[in-house]
Amino acid sequence: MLELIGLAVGLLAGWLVPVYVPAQWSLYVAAGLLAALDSALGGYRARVAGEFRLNIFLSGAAGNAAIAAFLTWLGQKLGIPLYLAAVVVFGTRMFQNFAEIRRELLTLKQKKDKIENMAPPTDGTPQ
Amino acid sequence: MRQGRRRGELAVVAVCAVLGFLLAVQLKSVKRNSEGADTATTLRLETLQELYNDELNRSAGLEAQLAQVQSELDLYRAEAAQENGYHDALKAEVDKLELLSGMVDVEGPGVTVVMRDSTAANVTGDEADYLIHDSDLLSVINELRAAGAEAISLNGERILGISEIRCTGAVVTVNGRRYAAPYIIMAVGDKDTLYSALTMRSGVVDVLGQWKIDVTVTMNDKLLIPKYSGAVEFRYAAPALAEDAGTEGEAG
Repeated sequence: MLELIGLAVGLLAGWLVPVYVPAQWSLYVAAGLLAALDSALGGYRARVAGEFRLNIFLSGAAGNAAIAAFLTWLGQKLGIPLYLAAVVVFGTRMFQNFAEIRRELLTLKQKKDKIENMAPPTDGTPQ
Repeated sequence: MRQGRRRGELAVVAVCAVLGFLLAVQLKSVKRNSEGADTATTLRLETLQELYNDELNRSAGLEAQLAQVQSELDLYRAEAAQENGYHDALKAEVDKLELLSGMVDVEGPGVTVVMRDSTAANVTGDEADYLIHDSDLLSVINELRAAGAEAISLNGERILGISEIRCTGAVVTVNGRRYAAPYIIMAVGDKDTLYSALTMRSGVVDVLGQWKIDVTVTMNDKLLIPKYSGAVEFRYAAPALAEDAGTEGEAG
């Protein structure tokens, strides 16, 4: 819940502050954006799974953003769209993280149901 | 442990806030930039706009400078004219030379020639056959001069003795400025002579008309032909001195 509030505060701030990204920095911001999105989802997944560690989270957030920006810069120098590497990796991880969050939350609910109702499992391990 | 969880939550919330901020700023910028085109084009547009603005500023500065210098010149002339009859004669000479060189607005009777690209169906397959070329404009202007035109302008640009009329792509460059069709040529002179010279049988209008290039010639009782708006600078040519006159024949 707090995460959503943070997101809303960020969106509001970004909308109200009269800052514009110049066209030549647009790619870098987009890459940083993907890194932040990946970090946020990853952090949330880790917290749901109960394996969250602050130093890993922070180093990952900063490091991923830096690498994404570096790849974008290198790609522009070399003339290949290297930022696509960041797009593909972060895109894939986003789906993975979302899948894990989903399973974690669903399993959590089923475990709770089981404990409360003492009902026998109807099928195998939940997917 | 409780403390660690709390800090972890805060960190995730902070990253979420950063994410939201970036997202909003980027969306805003992309929306603003994409009103024109994609990123690369926008970049190019920005660069070109900058260059254009620089040139405009430079041009405005130079024009202001020119206007200032010309007003100074007028001042000197007015002063000179006040002094005595000798200066009056000089001033009359300057006025005449100004008229001749195209440095002063001119008005008088004459003809207006409007030339439009051909509207005929393209049967030769070459689009260039149906457009007005620099040579067409030159032949009209040459004909006007032959008929005694004293001042000529093309689309408001005064034609001087040193003016060029030259194809530059789809447009024509005159005095370093570019003009596109329709071309409006104004000439001050004896309007009947000018009119006849252009519209005589097998004359220039007749020939261009065969390509269905639309040329209309009208006689006017009063035309205003603007002066040349730039400045003329001679870097190589200088008046020949008396002792150099001997070599003239050999060179010719």
